Amino acid sequence: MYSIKSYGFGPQESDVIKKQVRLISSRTDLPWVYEGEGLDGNIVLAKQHVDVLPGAKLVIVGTVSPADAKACAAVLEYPIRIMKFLELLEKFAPKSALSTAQAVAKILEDRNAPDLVLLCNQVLVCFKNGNSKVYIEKGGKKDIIEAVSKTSASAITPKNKIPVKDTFSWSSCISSKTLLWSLARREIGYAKSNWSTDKPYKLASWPQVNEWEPNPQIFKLATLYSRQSVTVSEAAKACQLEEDQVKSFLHACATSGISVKASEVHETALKGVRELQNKQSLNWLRKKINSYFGLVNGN
Amino acid sequence: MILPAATIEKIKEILNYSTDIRDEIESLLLCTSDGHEIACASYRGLKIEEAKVSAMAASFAGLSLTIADCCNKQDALGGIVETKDGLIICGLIKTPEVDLVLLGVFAKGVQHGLALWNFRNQLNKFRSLLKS
Amino acid sequence: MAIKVIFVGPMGAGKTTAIAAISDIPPVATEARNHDKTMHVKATTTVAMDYGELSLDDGNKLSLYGIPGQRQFSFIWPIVSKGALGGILLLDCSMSDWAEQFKFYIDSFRSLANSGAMVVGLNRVEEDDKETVSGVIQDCCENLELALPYFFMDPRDPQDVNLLLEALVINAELDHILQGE
Ligand SMILES: Nc1nc2c(ncn2[C@@H]2O[C@H](COP(=O)(O)OP(=O)(O)OP(=O)(O)O)[C@@H](O)[C@H]2O)c(=O)[nH]1
Ligand SMILES: [Mg+2]
Repeated sequence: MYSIKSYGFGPQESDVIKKQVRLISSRTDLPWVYEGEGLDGNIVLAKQHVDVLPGAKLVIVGTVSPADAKACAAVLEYPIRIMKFLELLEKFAPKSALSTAQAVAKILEDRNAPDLVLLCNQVLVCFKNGNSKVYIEKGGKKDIIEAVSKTSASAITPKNKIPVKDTFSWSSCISSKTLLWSLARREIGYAKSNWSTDKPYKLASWPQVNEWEPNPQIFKLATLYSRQSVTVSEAAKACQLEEDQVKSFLHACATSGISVKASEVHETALKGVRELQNKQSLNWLRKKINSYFGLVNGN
Repeated sequence: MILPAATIEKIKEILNYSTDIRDEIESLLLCTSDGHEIACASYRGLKIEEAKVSAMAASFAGLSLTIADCCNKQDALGGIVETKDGLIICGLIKTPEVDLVLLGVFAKGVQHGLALWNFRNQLNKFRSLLKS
Repeated sequence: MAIKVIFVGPMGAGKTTAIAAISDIPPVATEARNHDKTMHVKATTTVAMDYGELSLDDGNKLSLYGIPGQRQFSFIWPIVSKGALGGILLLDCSMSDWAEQFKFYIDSFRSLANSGAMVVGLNRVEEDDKETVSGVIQDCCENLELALPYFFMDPRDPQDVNLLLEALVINAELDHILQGE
């Protein structure tokens, strides 16, 4: 749990903050909670009081002088707007903390580890390391992703193991790679704050996106990052995707066991997205081979 | 072993004998249709790279069949490479057990007709040897 | 304009089969009787090349060339692969030496691989072995510093072969987007 405390707010104002945090926490990767007034939270929202606790944890709410703004971590307008608050929490997410997908990757790392049954969002989920599959007590494949993604990273640990008889029957399963990929792809906020927009990255091996997420843009992204080092902003341009999507792609690759190398050299010569000479032929070819992904770019 | 050792011995004998007595033949090479060398003989110390030429002879023979087929000609017998320094002829030998390719390299100036006649004689020798 | 794609890989990997699976014309093959049953039990083997075609609605076509997989025929590989836009490397993963074959063929067709115009089709992989096979490929790729796209496939299935072609098409498109002129 990551705590938010406030300082110098009245009871009604505290109540508003509490509701806001509850609303926001369903959309952040880390489980934030509001714990009332005090100075010992992971973040402290202080109303005007610049002097109480200068430094990294302090967020001033209200208007402050430029000099005072420097003494704290951030400034929020009063009344606090939800979107601004969300951005702030994403920014404050400690970089070293694992995301849920990474926590799952960690428990699935050791192929010789015993099966692990955990309670995820009120259903039992079994992580079988031997055959690299993940099972759910009831429901379908999508329910596995849903249940695990709603579980905080800190809850995904062998310490929370639930004993289950061997004869217990599981309703469905997915491959652990598919689960890791799908979980990580949802962690956009986490990806956003952990991947740089301007640093060139390259994949060391191919992510099997055709099995994990059959989608033409993602396939193109995988092809691009497998060939050469590119920055997030260039990749987004070349594949016509949002930068956040590219970051979440990189996060998903890294989580699924594909090593993503940051490189100093810049291989790309992105001279603007230009029309393809033999595009027509390639499109005919796509049509001919009954394109697996449909015609990209709506051609 | 593709062929019995005794048969290979006999093949070698024929190859050596032919290249010895026939001035117009520089080299004779026998290989399987998938390019494995069986035996080779050359006249007076001339050298060819046997393993490599075996693979090429098989490719060439295979292509001759395909080209013939694509040009509406059935049952190709082999192929000919014409050079300023003489003819190279490739021929197929099919038996129930093995498919072989014979490659003959002929000396400069040997007439085409003579070379072909000579080559067919060699083919027939091997055909009858393999039949028995 | 003709776009050329070559199918490479060891004996029995399914090159001839894959071309036959998708070609519009009756494929041109140069099959000869296979005399070396220790290498592979199949009846015939390619000795020169395979050829097939996909004709496109705009009058252009995609030509498909297959090499003979046995190494004694390596002299013909550069001849067959000249001018290829991309390569498809097929491997039969039920063979014990498939990983060595993978490295050997990447090495032999390194210029295609370096430009990213090479994709890998892995066939005869049991569902339960996919993870292990992926791991081996991943290690090989990291050593070679080449992240080649790879797909589990069956060369007899046209849809699977088409997916490999599509990966090459996407690569060709990226070439144009990135390099410009
Ligand atoms: N059962 C099964 N058979 C397969 C599979 N993939 C390929 N085959 C068979 O394996 C054989 C492959 O042979 P070819 O297509 O001749 O192989 P090639 O790569 O052309 O080999 P060379 O020309 O000798 O280099 C064919 O008989 C296919 O039917 C598979 O996934 N399952
Ligand atoms: Mg073949």
